[in-house]
Amino acid sequence: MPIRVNLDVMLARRKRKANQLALEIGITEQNLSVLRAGRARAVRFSTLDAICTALACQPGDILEHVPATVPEPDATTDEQEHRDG
Amino acid sequence: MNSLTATRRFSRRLRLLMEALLVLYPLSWLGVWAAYNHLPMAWREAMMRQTAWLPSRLTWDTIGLLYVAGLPRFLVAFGILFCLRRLFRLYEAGNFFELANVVLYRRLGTLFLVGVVASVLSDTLGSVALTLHNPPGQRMLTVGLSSDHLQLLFVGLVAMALGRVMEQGRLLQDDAKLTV
Repeated sequence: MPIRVNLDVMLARRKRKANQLALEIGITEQNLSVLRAGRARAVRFSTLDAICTALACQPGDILEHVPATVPEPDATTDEQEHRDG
Repeated sequence: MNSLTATRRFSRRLRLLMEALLVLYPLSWLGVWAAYNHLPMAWREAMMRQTAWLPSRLTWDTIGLLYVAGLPRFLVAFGILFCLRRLFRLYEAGNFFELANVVLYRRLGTLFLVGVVASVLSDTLGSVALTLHNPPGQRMLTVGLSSDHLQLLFVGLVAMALGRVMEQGRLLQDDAKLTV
């Protein structure tokens, strides 16, 4: 998933527990667990707003875009092409 | 009462109806032929008008053959009732767009389509059963398609289309479940 959720990091920084946060922002612990585990398919703005308010942070502190990595060319194949000319 | 509760209650009633039919249908199928010779004449005449070559009295041999002839249609109909019972049980439990629902709709569609073949086969075997003891030259084997078969085919195709729609609903539900 190209979007990484760093909610655990923010919870640790703010010294908050997940179940407390869930109660405060009005979502179930199960839903919060889905978000923390990176299994969520979408996040409502209202939820994001509630989390940022509760943890006093920005959306960028919680969500991070991780580009998909391009595989590097195989070194052995390159050497062989160079030898064969 | 919200609409979800009303839907679940209605589904419960339909589930109970299917369970009753699962018992009554086989009993009626077995009973009607076994008791044919003892039925009021008016009932037998009504059945004779609906079924070609049906005499006013049946021998036990012919009754046995009619049971065998009707088996394909009976098994498909029983399967359909069984699927419907499971489907309404899911609705009663509040499961509307699960994978099990999708599978049941597809199965129903398949059963209805197979039912067309089973119905034609049962009618054909029925004509043989009813005329098997006739003198040579008066025995019949008929193969026919009627509007009833076309209706079954139509219902089967609709059920399959509903299965595809339910699959889309399942995907939407999955998305909704994983939306925080």
